[in-house]
Amino acid sequence: MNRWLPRTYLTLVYLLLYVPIVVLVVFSFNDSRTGYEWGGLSLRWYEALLNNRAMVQAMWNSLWLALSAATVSTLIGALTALALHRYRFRGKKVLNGMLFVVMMSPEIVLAISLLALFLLVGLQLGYVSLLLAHVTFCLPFVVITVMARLSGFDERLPEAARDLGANDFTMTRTVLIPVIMPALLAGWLLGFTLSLDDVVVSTFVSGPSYEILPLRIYSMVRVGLKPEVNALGTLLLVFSLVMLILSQWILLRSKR
Amino acid sequence: MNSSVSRFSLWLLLAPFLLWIVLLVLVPHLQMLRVSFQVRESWDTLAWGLEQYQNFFSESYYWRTFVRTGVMSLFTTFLTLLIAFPIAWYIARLARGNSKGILFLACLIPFWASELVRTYGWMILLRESGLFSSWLQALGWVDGPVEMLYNDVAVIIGLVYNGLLFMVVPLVTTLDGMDESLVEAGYDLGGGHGTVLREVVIPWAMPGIVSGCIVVFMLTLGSYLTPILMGGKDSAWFTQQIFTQFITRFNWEQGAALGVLLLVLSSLLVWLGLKLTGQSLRKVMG
Repeated sequence: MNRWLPRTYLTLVYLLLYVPIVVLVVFSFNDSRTGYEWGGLSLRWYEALLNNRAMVQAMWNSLWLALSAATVSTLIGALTALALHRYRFRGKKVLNGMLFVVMMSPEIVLAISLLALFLLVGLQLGYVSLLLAHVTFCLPFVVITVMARLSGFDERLPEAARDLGANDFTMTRTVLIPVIMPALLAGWLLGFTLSLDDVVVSTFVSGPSYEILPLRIYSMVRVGLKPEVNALGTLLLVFSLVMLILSQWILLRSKR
Repeated sequence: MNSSVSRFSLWLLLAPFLLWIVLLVLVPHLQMLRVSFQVRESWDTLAWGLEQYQNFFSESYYWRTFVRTGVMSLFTTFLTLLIAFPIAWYIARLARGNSKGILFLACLIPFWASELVRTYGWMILLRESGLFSSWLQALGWVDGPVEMLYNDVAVIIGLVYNGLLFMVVPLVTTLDGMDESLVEAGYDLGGGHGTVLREVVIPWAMPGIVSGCIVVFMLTLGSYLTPILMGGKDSAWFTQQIFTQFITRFNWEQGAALGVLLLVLSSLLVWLGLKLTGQSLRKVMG
């Protein structure tokens, strides 16, 4: 019993972790409209999605938004992480604390404060407002991820490169970039996923001019359960996993 | 390196971040605070006042929803801790070699799906025409379809599911660093399972427990999607009231005040939790 009890418990919890996701994926290939009967294998829901022009447009919009939000937050986040990693300065603790506060505070509070600001300054709700909002909630996560990866970085490496006659440019290109690249990639990937998945903040700061995928799924889910949503959810899931595997592969390759 | 040069490059590195935080976090939050102290006297005149905050305490609907949300969040946090602790213990102390990494990774993967997708998965299982209902009918345990969605239990299932990872990770981290001889010493001194758990393991794991609980509690209290999707329109979660005031009623002053209250009250609860467990935020969050 001493051996089996922990294993049974673990199996049960892991089963519950995966059941909702597996069911979603399996039913996305179900030919039947109902959510409990198996009507045979079919791709009709995927077909229906691809024939829906508005849906495809929303998909592209989402990808473009996630791409740009992840890139901007990685650029800013990398500089911040470098500063926090390299320098000791007054207010560093305050800055670190602020990262946690922004990360922990409820999404909806950030959302309403941003909406009020955007309307106050007369910014039209659309791509720009979404980008500003997404970078804001991605930033702390990116900074912390990059910082965690940098903490293992030996500060003597750049010095050694300089001693060996490298100038700043060569040092950056041959030492700094290869070392911090995995850190940047990890941060970028997290930002991309956070942006691609966000519903709450986007609900507030998006306008009719720029429709994005999670909001379309959300409105579909709210009015009733549609089999197309299974297919969409599966696509999102596969996309996230492919990104994850790709980044792990790049990380492994860079280590060799 | 010249110190003024290094000072300059430090500022250069930090400038974009500071600018972003000030313009898109600090300014909007201060603006929200300002709006929350405004009272609309007629459609175009505003006066200063505490009316929005008085509303929160005088209209029982507001503070009751907050208390309900807080109590359910505490319960969810506690349940998540109970479920996550044995998993973390297994991963950190019982699993060996490869299986350790695999179990940890297997715990992370479902969380790469978005909250929306995960919640939708649960909806497929729990709704009236869903899988669980049809399984129960096939087994002959119930006569007709059962609606398992749109109640508090469903909300808590969804919330625990969403919080699990954020509890497992800090627990594994602290339990991983615990010396096996500490546990052995506990048994050698005549302690039973309960005593060793209470006197040795839990005190050691306290920073991990507190940090996991804070994250899960804040996530739960501030969650919006899961309560509305799994609990239905009447699930009465506090974040829904903020949404209603802001978007449906267009009553920004009240919505802003509720937002400020959510921030202040949740920070207060976290601070109280830290005081009660004798932990400091710095120690807990590294």
